[in-house]
Amino acid sequence: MITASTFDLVWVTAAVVAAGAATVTLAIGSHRLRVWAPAIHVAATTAILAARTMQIGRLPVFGPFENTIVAGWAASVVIAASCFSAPTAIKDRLARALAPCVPLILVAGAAFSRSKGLMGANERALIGYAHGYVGWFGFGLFLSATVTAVLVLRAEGRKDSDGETLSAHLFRLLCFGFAWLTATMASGALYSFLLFSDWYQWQIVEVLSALIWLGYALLIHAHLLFGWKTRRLAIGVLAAGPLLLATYWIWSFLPITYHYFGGS
Amino acid sequence: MPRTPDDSSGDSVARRSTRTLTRFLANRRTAQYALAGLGLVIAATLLPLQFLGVSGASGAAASSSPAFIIAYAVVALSILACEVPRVSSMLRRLSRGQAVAPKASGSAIACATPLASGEIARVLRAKGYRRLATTDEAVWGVRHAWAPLGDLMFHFGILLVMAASLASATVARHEATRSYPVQSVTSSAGAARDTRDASRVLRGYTLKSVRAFMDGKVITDLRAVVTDTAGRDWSVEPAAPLILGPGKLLLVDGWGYAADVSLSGTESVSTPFRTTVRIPALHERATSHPLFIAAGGATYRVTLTVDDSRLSARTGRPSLHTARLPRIRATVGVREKDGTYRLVERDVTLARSRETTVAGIVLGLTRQRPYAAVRTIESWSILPMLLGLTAITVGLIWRLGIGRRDAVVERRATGWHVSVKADAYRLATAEAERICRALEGR
Repeated sequence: MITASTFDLVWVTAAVVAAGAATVTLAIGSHRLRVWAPAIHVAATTAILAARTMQIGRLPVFGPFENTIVAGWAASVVIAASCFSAPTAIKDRLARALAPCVPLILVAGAAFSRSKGLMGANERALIGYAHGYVGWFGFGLFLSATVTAVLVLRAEGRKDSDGETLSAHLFRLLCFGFAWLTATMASGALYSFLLFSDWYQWQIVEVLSALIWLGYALLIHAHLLFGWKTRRLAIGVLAAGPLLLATYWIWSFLPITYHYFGGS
Repeated sequence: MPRTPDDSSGDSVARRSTRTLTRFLANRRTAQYALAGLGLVIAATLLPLQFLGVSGASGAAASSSPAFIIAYAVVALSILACEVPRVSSMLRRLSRGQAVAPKASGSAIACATPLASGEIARVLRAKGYRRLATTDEAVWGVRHAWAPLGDLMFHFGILLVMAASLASATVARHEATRSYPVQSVTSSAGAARDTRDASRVLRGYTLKSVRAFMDGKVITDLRAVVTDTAGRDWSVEPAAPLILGPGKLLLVDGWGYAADVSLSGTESVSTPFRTTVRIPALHERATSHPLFIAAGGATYRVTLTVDDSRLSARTGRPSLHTARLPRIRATVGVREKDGTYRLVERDVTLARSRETTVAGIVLGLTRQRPYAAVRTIESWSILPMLLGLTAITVGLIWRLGIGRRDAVVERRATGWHVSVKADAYRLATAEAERICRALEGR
């Protein structure tokens, strides 16, 4: 176990390191540094995750502040994997565009209380953790997809030859994000049934999840059936952006849902 | 019996209509419009409710509105019409013994390998490619040939989930909740504070004990032990139910305090009385219990209400997260000659430490006992839902995580070239590079 002040120290240090890595990536044109930035972000967010786990005695997943920790960690892992597995031609560009994401998520954590919340009896379930972590990985994938969509549009505007490669990568992210979102909703349905004997409760989070799921399903079908790619696909992904943010973050602010863990 | 011309025309009209409808539903544009339509219905009917603060039950009501049901049904029928015809053709295509030579891809990668076609086939086999075909000029094979079935599995999983949700919301469900006194309450330090016997028979199972573990005022764990007819003990926890049989679950649903409220008459009531009323389980929002008390020639109506503000915003119940005592309020009315009740006092908060007198009736909280809600659920939706969720998960892993790849290595004027036709979710170039590296011995 570590104290709250020790955790705060780890959190601030790791956030500063992550922000520094992002700044260096954006400001300096060194390819080597850019490749290292995602790895530094993974290390920084893992340190925060580990420190929080040691502080509260369980994996963080409940509450707005813990949302930023898990979201930052999942996003850093997804971004690193995305940059690593992307074709060589677009790796550098992806690393640079995605660099600010993780520090921004970590900085958003400063807006929330860092106090340790206790878990109620119903919250002590493996499926609850699975639901949370799978969900944030989905968020990381969609966040990467949204940033990649901007790159696709820029490449199209400049008649860049990498537009097609970026578009293929965007579609790949979209598909994997869709898979993780589906898994999130499936695990959530199971958890909901165990707690309330209702598979789906149509509260704000469920309504928005259904909408974003249908939206991404439409985009995937549009690509597969109607050949939507590059510009159209990118615009579609960007149009879904606000809904994506609302789905994953509204329950950090709105206490009208049982997804809210800001206080009992 | 011979068919008349009328019968035959009627039959063909019906058949034509069915065919037209099936074609319409199987149309890819219909599929897109159906998905968009369902999204619009959700956005128009369910989303505004959230911001009006009437989610939950109202949301459930909106999800059973005609517009929602029609949009839902069109999506389900569209999936069915799209996927069923694909089954036989896909199975036929996938069960072919040998891979069909893919068309040479324009984006083939040049590969400086000295190997002959027979050796190239061996390398491809080592890379997981099967159904290899070899000529002097080309080698081709397929990896994870059956992966496209994941697509079908995913869509049929969605159909199962949609059907199960509908069944769950309509008929195939029986649910019963009972509250049982908690046997012991244990603090985080492990010291037992209270022990009571609470054995009850529950559908052939006997509830042996319910224990609550607390940290401060938060119930951090709740464990029930039930005994079956063979005398075996089974543990039940929130989010870890006991499966009694296919589609049957036993859950520890929650936690709460049951209040004993004492009512007694004072000097101003001509016939003294004393009674205790137990509000058995505080598991519902704003529970109200009207009591009628005849005393001193007058009839009083006492309504006890659980204070809504003490309930969890997340669950609508006081039981799941916090063990703090809910506030109980009393409203007292006295019966007039015309049969109506005249309000004497509204919303008097009862406290444990002091008694409250309203119109000669003394109200007090004598005890608040911890209770656990144990619930049994029988629902035919459980099996299809689990099957559907499994099909969706396996389908997605098969399709996205594995994916089918057709590789062709062909000899061109400039040497061997590798091209890969991957399904939509894989980067064909990366796979071609991987094969090329293996062929070059890197």
